[in-house]
Amino acid sequence: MLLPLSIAACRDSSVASYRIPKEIDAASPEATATTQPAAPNRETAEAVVVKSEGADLAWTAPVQWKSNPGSAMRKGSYIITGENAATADLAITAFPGDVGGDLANVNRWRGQLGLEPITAADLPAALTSIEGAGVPISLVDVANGAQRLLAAMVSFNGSTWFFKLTGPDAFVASTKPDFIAFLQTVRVPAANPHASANPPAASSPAPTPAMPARGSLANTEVTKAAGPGLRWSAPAHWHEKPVSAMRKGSYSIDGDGGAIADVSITAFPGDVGGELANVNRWRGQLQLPPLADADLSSAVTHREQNSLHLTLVDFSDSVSANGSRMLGAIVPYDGATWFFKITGPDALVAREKPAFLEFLQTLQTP
Amino acid sequence: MLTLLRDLRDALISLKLTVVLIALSIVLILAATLDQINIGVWAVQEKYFHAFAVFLPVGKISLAVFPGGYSIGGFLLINLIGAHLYRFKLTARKSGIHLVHSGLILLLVGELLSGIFQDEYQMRLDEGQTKNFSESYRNVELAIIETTNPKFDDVIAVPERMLARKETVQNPRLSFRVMIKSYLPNSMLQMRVSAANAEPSPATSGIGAQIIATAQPLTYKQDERNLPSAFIELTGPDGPIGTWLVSTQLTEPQRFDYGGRSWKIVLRFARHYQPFSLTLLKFSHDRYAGTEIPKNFSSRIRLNSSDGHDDREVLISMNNPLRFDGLTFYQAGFENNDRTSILQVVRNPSWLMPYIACSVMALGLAIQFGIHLFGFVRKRRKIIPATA
Repeated sequence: MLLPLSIAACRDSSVASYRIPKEIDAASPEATATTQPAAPNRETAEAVVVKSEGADLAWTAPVQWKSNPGSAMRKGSYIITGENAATADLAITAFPGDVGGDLANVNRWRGQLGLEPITAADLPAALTSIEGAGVPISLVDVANGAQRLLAAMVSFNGSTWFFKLTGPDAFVASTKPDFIAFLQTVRVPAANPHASANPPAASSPAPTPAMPARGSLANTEVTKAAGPGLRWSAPAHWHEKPVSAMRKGSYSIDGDGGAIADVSITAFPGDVGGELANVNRWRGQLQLPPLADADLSSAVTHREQNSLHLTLVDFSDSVSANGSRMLGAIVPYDGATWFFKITGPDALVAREKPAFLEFLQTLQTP
Repeated sequence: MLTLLRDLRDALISLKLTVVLIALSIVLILAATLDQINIGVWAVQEKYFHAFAVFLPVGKISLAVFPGGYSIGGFLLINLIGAHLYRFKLTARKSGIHLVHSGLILLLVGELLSGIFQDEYQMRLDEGQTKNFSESYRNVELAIIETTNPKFDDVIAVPERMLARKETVQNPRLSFRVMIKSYLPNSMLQMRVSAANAEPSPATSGIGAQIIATAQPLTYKQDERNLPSAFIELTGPDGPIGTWLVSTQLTEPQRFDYGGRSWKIVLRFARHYQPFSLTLLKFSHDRYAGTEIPKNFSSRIRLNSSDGHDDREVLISMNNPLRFDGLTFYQAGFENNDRTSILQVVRNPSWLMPYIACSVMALGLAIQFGIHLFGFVRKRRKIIPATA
């Protein structure tokens, strides 16, 4: 009896995809009377769902911080008491996805202190990067004169973890060094099988440098494994940025005169519109006109390596004064498409091109 | 240990349990009937009959307070089958009773299968209109439709259950991720211009930015429908594409282009496509001569199957449904000054079970009464000569 019931419970709970003859929106008799119905090719597609649950992060709190019974919302909770009975509250929570992104999170906290929101341009200045025990962390420090809020964001296993310390301005400011020291203990538990979204170094309490895949790269490089997906080794001078729900990997490269180039690694199911659509999407980002199908082969180069097929592009925006440049690689793998992209000022990206190509050579399947 | 198992078996097959279960089912049916006033017939079925236990909210938690339809029916089934295995002896004299009980078992199993596998939809057809799908009464789905190809559309349908759980959807046929920002099971839409001080809309694309969606309490009335809305964010490899407000009250799908392909996004009542189409040729609303009293409702339909095997006219009228391809189309209603016909569409793979069960029970009763009747007559014949 339980078997049919469990079948029933599973019905209507998965994404369905099917093909139908062209439909005309306005459901007028004239419009729909002309449609030729045909058998729909209904199939239940395997929907990949990003889950919020999973293994937890671990941390070590100073002994003088009093653990508070956590609520259903909180993964951890501490009360920090200072002189003159000043207290600050540390709340540790986790939410699926990127919870609206860094900017939305920062502005939410600013709103809690009655501060005006900031724009995307101000965001890099508002975030400080901290390296936890192998876990990249972004720290935000906002104060309104009376209250201060220190909040750290950690992307882990498809979720975003928040470590938020709130209390009187002066007291929280004085606790900041302790808080940063605490954040540096945040780590992925050693026995965690879900540590895929983080560098392997994070999975052991004592980080050990990974072996370089290629001799020509600096021997301090970080090997990055993204779940069952592709693996790569990034050059040592690329600064690793916190990955988000969007990005499988993220790096920034410093150039001369404060110039910064951004490396992003993303993966999406399917062919994401096909090679031409993806190339033209990238061209659009540089305000370049789209290519016709016939021009595609001359605009891209192909490379085969480690049983992967790479489509490489190199586009420059020669129109604008600052001249942006983009190098990209489209890599289909295991039913998904991976995008490796470096963008930044022309001179800096040109300087990084050999490093980027060498970086692409480190791509391999797990 | 063995004694305990034997005691348990004896309890399960006892006549006392049968009586208790029948008494419980009477109470369950009475309570469910009374509760229809509060939550309507659909919710009553789910809460009382298609459930193992009836839950009542006590404070902040739900407590199981009474066995549900599945529990009572399940135990009745076990009780009946067990009694046959251990208590009853298969003799010719009792063959009628055995048949009646077999029919009863079939009826219980059939009801269970119907409860699980039966689907009900409706098809609303204007005169001259052709449709190859029916729609759910209550369940909605988020349909994301790729319309790039001029010949066909590719549909990705996300069921309501996933919307309510705000599950993120990633599908190989979509070049973006679908994130459910919020889901309102019942909602009211209002144009933003008529409410100046409203909070800014989460929607950034489509018509949603001009509309305010407000959550409404769920309705259980039979003549009302819940009208859900949702805010859906689509995210591509380069970041968010936009956030759309979708609602069953926005009947037109919203269009957008992304990744060199054209798309539509719409929240609609869940569709069930079928490999044939129906065209409403004429709806008739017959009345008794000289009065307004309805005599008959009927729909003259043209049935056209996609494989070309069927292209014929059928008449669907009250108590005269069309059965085709596992679906049954009943005449259920009409609208629009007798120009729109509403058909109820039922898929019930076990629809024959009650008929078979009742036939078996009727046969069993006839045999049992026959045996008694002949026995009685034979006895009488013996007695009559003795007294004569």
